[in-house]
Order: sequence, then structure tokens, then C-alpha cells
Amino acid sequence: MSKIKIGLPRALLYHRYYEGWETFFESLDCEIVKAKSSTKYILDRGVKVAEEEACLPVKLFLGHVEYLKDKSDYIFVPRLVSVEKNKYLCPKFLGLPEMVKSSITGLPKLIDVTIDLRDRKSNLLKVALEITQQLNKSYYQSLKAFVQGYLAFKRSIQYPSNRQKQRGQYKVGILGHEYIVYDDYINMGLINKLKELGVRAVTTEMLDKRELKSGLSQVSKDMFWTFSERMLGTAYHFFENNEIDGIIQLTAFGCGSDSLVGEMIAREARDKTDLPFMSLNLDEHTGEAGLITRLEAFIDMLKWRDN
Amino acid sequence: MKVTFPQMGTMEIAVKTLLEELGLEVIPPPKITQKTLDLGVKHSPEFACLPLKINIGNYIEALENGADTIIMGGGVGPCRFGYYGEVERKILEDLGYDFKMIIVEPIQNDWWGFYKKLKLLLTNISWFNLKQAWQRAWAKGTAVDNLAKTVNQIRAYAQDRKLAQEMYEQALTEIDAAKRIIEIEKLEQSYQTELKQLPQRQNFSPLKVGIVGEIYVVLEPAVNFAIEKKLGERGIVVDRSLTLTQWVKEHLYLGHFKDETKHEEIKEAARPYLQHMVGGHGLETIGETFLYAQDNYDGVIHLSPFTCMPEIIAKSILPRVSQDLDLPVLSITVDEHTGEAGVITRLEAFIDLLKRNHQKGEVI
Repeated sequence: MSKIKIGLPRALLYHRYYEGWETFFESLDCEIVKAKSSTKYILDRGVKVAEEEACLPVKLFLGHVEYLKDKSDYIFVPRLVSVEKNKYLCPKFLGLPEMVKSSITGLPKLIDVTIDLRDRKSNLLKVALEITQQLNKSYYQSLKAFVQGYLAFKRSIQYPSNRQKQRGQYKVGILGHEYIVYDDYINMGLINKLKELGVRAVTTEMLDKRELKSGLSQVSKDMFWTFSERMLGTAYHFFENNEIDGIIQLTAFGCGSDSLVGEMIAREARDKTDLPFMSLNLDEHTGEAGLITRLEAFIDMLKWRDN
Repeated sequence: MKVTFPQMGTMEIAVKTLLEELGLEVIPPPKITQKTLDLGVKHSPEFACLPLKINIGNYIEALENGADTIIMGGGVGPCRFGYYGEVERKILEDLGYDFKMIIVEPIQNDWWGFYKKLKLLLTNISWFNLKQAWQRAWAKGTAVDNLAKTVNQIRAYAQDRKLAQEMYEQALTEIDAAKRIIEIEKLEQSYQTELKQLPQRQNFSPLKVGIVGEIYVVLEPAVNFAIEKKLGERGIVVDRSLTLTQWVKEHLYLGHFKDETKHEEIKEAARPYLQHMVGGHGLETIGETFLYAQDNYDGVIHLSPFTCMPEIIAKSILPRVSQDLDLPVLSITVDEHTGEAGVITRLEAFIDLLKRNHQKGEVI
């Protein structure tokens, strides 16, 4: 019997959880189907089917689902409500399965489990069992897959592959959601371009828990979105420690959480530090040449300040 | 201490009473005008949703009028509203205003915090005063909501539709000025009767339209271009799914005072299309649309501010609901660039479509 093909849309929280998710499904003896990377073709298809007002990352997600729909037996579109106690994710993650179902026709079966760890972390195990039931796998297999997937995820956040020391004369802090910072198509290879310009990028994932926590102790109100909270923590960490030479904020068009949290960070940056700060808003019309010009100007400014 | 608060539809009438009864000096923001919007847009983040921009405009105008304390609601997500207060405070501080901002977080999460906030606001107040103030504010809120419901029903039938609207506005002014609960109740009664006794059109069977969507845009006529009035004057019976008092009952009341029956019904109705709350009123939009179809409404109008996160989800699901139930749905997204003429054109086209559907129905 051929293996069950699970489509993993390479967008949104894939970029954070892929090592866990892929290990989990592979341990269940499934085959993972995914796009090699985001492409213009994928994004265009997403833009075409998506509600026009949706944010860029959601449009890209829908594009990936479109890409996968003829290639897989199931597509993994979880409803991610919460990944830690008393926090939420952005509303669009809460309604993602329904957005997919309403926007795209001819879908294969969806694995649209609800992941809600607001009250209890152990709910995750229940979700894993639910998935394996849907895939007709044994109880034992699912436990094994769950443990392996969970460990793989833990490893991935402990030793992020991008943590390795890069060389570069200048260090720039990057503030942005993982699904923008790590999607080279959407951010037009920003990190690599920085490298070419001799600049090291520091992202949220390169900070450890302690650093994030000390950053967050400065915030006046608890942030209720997990990933925006991490962004705030990172920002305050950057403000306080004189480790970096400048900050680049990456936001996507239509991002609701960034419209407020990003604004707070930009305003705090003005008050709390004299670090150069640049905000880049990306959408499907953003041109690469324009982005490079702005990056080069920003780096020139860093150099100029140095002299 | 001179307190102010954001404007939202007729909320001012109840909130002003509540605060004044508690012995505070209240400076409500002036009614929302183009200037309010311009001020808000100028100083707010570009991609923030419209209510935040209007809030900022409200605050600036109120602070210029002498207010020094702002009362604002908080929240715990997942809708952006929960973070409004923090951002608004920062924006006003950066503008150099000297003020205090009291952000009232939901009671359910933090009793002690709520109590402390209350103490900050009212140094010395008895439970009796608090209860009395609440009851008076509640009486006003209920009266206003009930009259709005009636006028939305009556307007289309009235021979002089403008007169019905004038009466309603007159009622709002008088209720606003009333002091005692008996007085408020009497006013409501008499206006209810008067509205119902207006000379009506004969042999007239109007179209019925329900309004769903994000609460601020639904409740604030300055933002939704007085859509209820516009529909009513064009001979449409309107029902608005959201009212302030209903919202308070669901969100602020505790324990067995909480009125969840309506909400359960909505959740159940939305289930085939949306199985989880998405913050704000996204789930309600889907559920209420379904219920309007069941109640044989001719169409539904969905209102939301541009970039509203929960309503974008609702908006992407609504076409499917509309198709399944054979119910026309018009989604109107508003922001600072929305022009009134454009909205009127779309409304009229929608009404034409409903009329044609209606006739088709009769022929068969």
C-alpha cells in the first residue's frame, strides 16, 4: 500500500513548527508533500482565491493549499487557537480551516484539528490522537509519533539552525513574524541580502528565554497574542542591550497585530534608544529593487554613524 | 477630575449617566464629525482599524475641551480591541497631552484589579450609590435600545418616514435629560405609543433586512452613514443584531446574571460554517446571518471596519452562507476613505436586487 500523502502548506506557523509536524507525520508512516518554497505562482493563486482584505501571509497560505490540493490525500490545516496558557494567536489562525474551505474548491480531506492549549498543555496529546484516528493508525503508533514530534520541535527551538554565528561587521535586529522573516520569497531574501552587505541579522529565535523575559518585564500590559508578545520582548531586549547597531521591522500588508504592536514598538524605539529604525511593509506588489535601495541606504546610515 | 470616554452610537447617554451618578464631572467628546475622523487618522497607525482612529479623534477633542481622565475598556484578545487602550495612551502621550487613562479590564479575569481601578476613579463610594447609578444608566440604555428597535420596524410603514426619525431623535434627547428611572420608563412608553400611532401606509409589504457585523461600525451612525435611517427611508424594515445592552449582558455580567441563551443559539446556527469563535463578532456575524435567513428576511448587510481581523474571516465565509441559504448578503467595509455617495449607490443597487427577488418569489 502506498503511503498516505499529507500536504503541509509552507506558510504561517509551518515556519515555527515544521520540524515537529514533519517528524510526527513521518513517524506515522505518511509522506509529506510540500512546496520547495513560496513562489510567485503560489502567491498569485492565493491572491486570486483569498478574500481581498486578508493579510499577505494568509493569502500565501491559501496559495500553498491551492498548490497542494491535487497532490495530497490530506492537507494539514490546524485551527491554532492558543499555544500557551492564557494567550491566543491572531484571529485568522482561529478561523483558518473555514477560510480555506470557503475560499478553495476541490479540496481533499482536511486535517482541521483544534489546537487549544489555553487551559491545558496536555490537550496537545488529544489532538495527536485525533489526527491518528482520522488517519486510521494504531494507538501505539500515535503515541510514538507524538513523542518523536514533540522532541523534534523542542530540539528545533533549542538549537535553531540559523543560530550559527554569522560573520559581519554590523548586527541588525529583525522584528517580524517568523512566517515573514523565514520566507525568502515574501521578504525577498532580506536576510541573505543583509549578509551580502556584511550585516548579521539577529531574530527573535536567536534570543533565549531569559533575554525575552527581561525584555517583557518592561511592557505595561500583558500581550495576549503569543507571537506579538515575543516580538515585544525582542524589541525591548534590543532597546536595552547595546548589542546591535540598528533595527529593521518587517510587517506584511494587512497584518492586524502588527498594526498596533508594531506601532507601539516604533514609538518606543523613538523614545528609548537612538538606534536607527526602519519599518518595511511588504505586500504582493513590493518590488525587489525598491527594497534593496532602502536596505542599502539603511546600511550606509549605520556605517556613517560609525565614523 | 474631569472624565471622558469614547463615543459609540447612543452609548453616551447611558455612560454619562453612570459616571455622573457616581459623582464625577463628565466631559463627553463632541459628536463625531469629519474633524474627529481627520484628527484620528492623522495621529493613528495607518493600518489600525477605524474604531481606534475615531477613539483618538474623540479623546483629542475631549481633552481640548478640558477633560483630564479617559476611561476605556480593555480585553484579553484575540481581537485587537484588547490592546487599544495601551496604544491610544502612547499616542496621546507622544502628542504631549497631560491626562490619566483608566483602562478597565474584564472583571472575570481580575476582580482585584477591577476593584483597584474603581477605587482610583471613585475615592469614596458606597455600594448603594454604585447600584443606583448602574440601575439608572441601565434604564436609559434599555429604553434607547428598545426605541431604536421600534423605530427600525416602524419607519418603513410610516407615511412620513422623516417624522418617525425626528421622533426617535427627540426621544433620545429627552431620555438623555431625564433623571429618575420612573421618568425614563414613562418617556419610553409614551414614545413607543406615539411611534406606533404614526399614520401608516396601507397595503404595503416592505422588504426586511438584517444588519450584522463589527459592533462599532454597526452601532455608530457617523461611521456607517446612518445606514438604518437610510434603509428605513427607502422603505425597508431593519433589524440590527447588536445592541449595547445585549452586549453588556453577555460580556460584563457574571454568574447567573449572564445571559447566554441568545449567544448559544447564535453559536449553534453558525456551526455548519464556523466552529470556533474568532474574536470580536466574527462568529456572531455568521450565526446571525443564518438566523435572519430562518426568519425569512430578504437580505443581510454586513458592516465592518477595514482590516478588521474577525470580520475578514466572516467575510470570506459569508459568500458560502449566502449561496447555501439563497440569501443576498452585502458586505460593506468602511474606512476613512469610504465615501457616502458610494455607499448609497451600493445600498440602492442591493435594494433593487432584493425587490426583484421579492417579485420573483410572488410570481411563483
